[in-house]
Amino acid sequence: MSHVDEGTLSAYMDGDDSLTDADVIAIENHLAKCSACQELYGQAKETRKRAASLLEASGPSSIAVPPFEQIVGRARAGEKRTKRTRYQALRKWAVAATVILAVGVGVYSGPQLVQLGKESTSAETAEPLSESLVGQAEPTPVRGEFREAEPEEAPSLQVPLRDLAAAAQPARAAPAAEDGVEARMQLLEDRDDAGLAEAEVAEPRGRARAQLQRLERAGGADAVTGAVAQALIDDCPETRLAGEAGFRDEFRGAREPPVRIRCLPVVSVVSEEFRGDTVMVITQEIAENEFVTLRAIDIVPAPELDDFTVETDTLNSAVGRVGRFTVQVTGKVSSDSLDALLRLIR
Amino acid sequence: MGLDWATVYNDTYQDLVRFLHRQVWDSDRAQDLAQEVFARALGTEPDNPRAWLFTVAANLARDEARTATRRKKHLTLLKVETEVEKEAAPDLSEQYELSEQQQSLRKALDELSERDKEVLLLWGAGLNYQEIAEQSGLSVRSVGTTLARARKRLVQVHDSLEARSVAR
Repeated sequence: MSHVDEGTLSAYMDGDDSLTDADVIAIENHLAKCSACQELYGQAKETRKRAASLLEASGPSSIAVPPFEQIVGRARAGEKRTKRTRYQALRKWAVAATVILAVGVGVYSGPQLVQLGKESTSAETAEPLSESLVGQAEPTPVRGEFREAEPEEAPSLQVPLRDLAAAAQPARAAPAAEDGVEARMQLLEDRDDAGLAEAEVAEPRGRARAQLQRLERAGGADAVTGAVAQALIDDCPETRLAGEAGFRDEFRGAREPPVRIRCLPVVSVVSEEFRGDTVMVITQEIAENEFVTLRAIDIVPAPELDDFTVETDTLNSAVGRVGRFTVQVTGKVSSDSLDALLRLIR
Repeated sequence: MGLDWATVYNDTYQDLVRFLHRQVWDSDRAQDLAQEVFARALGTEPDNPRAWLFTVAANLARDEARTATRRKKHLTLLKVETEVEKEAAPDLSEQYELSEQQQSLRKALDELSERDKEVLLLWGAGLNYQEIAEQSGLSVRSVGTTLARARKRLVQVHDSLEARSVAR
């Protein structure tokens, strides 16, 4: 037998069952007569011991085990959430159509308030569109069963209906939240809807550029100027918009169901290295000075230069959930910008 | 008969928290993730529950790490925002929570590549090479080599950090 390599030695030391009995015998026979391998073995054994004790010593000193019932309760809460997301898939078309209708209504009803950010039961069950509209546009909040059970509820963002109409145009920012009020809103639009196509291409670019300049001033040096991208999270079940810092607690207690984002103008696209993985970070502005960031990981290169779509699994930063992410580049893009974007994607 | 998760839970919970702590370095977060892992486990019947648990935990920790990196980046981008200062503060206090021993291990682990670190931690959790291979995408044969390299690097970096702090 030739010398024993480090990997095999490692398996031997660990007594791993990837080695057969014959392997073990061969290793031992070799070790008995090869001083070089004996030395290697001695060092490896020592290193293994040290590594194990370093790892061992690092844990928290005491860990209380919560009652198992707590886990059972958590699992049930999780099932509830999963069911919700199924409904949300059904909502897709209902919501898209609602926007159109809501915009229409807005012409007549002026500054009437529309409750956003709630998960209305009517929309969730994807009832006929007209009923969805009623659910969305009703001045008094329509609350889902799930939320009503909760004792506390942060105030929902209310915006005039005409702003809702504005929000349906991706070119415009969603209305600003008041200070201290978390912006929770559904951006009621859907790229699948052909009626929005024109507006989408034209204006977001100007806006994105303005935002980029601002971000660059703010220190985001590697933002890509002019990257014209329209991002949407498709089938990303739940997306929390603001207040990431407090998110963990809220998610844990399921105090409020996360709200879904549909489609937002992209503010910046930056690449990021994370221990050898290349990830793309896409920042979108959901309201004045409020941003949400998406990370596209393991992005597949898309060689077509004129018009391309990248689809990839995306980890939503806010909720740590994986969804489907699409970057579409349409219209004229300067070659510099496109190169920059492609570099990022690659 | 179904798998008795309650027993597995009592036997494994603490190990799982320790495993997660070596990756997220926050006791509360480690416990929260460990509970999430068990909550996801209920109703499943894996052949090797322990390996299943650590694999799911490794995935959650990986996502967590990515989120954390992104958050840092995001904060850089938005440093004019007042929120940034609020969010940055807990990071520091988390650091202080760690013992010196934990901090030097953390630094040493950070010097490893993502995959080497994962392999090493899964090994530390007692998974066999086949299981580690499945989680890390390596072949079973390369697990040993990766482990040997990772352990060596860990000890090396740790010792040089210790030497540096003694010299100071």
